[in-house]
Amino acid sequence: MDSQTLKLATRGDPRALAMVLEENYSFIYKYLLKITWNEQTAMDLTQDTMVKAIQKIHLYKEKSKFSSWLITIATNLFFDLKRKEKTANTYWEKERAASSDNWFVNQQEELLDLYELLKILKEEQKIPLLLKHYYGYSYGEIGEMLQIKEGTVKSRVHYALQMIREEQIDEK
Amino acid sequence: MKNKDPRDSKEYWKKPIVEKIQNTTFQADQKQSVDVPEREWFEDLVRREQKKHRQQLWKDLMLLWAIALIIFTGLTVSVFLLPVFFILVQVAVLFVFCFLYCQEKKRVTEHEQYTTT
Repeated sequence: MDSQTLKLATRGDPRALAMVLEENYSFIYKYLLKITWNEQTAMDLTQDTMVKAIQKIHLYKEKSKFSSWLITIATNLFFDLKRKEKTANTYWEKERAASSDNWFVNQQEELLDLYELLKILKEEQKIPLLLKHYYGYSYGEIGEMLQIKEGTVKSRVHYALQMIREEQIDEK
Repeated sequence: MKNKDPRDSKEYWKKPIVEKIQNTTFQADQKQSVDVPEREWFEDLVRREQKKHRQQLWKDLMLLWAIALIIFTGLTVSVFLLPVFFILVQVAVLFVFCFLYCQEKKRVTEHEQYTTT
């Protein structure tokens, strides 16, 4: 993605904005899939992220990468959804859990390995861990993205790694 | 001087776990296929959202003007004692609200038609 296209996109040029969003679509979907472990939810949240990005494009500052900005939106939408789910323990939630179980039957081995590795972690630990050690963001950047203190990010990442280690020791 | 053994570090145990996370995540990402919609879908989405945003701005502006008019007439009536002026402005405000209502109704009908087709 060249800076000229991004500049046009931030000014609201529909073609440039569409191009930028298309380029980041699969990146955001894959990120959300690792957080939600549910294809449908990841798909819905990806589309919601695209809509939100269009609405808030005037707020995007070029000091951060566009993909980081999208990750911030996607993460916020994910936590919003979780909050809604907490307050509405509905039939829909059970349906989603069931479809999630079915989904795992048809998934590739690599994704199941990842699920096995990260399943003991809560989202609050898993998200900073992935952002730090897979996406390569600094603790400060993650803190800004998740609106938490840098020290909190550090401790969450540390405890996440510790939990995985303990799990691995237990399995042995 | 003896070189420090990296295994003495408190953080040493983290390295293999981090590497495992990176490798497993990378492989999962590589194998995961994503159905990215066509470019037209994104362009339509952008245009639709921008149009919605513009309409919302207009609606907010109209509402602001309507409220300002109501306050203005109230002040005019109380200061200059002109009830005719009051009635005229109230009628104008009523028209603005009717116009907004019709616009909203039209938008809802269009949206329903769009979702059913």
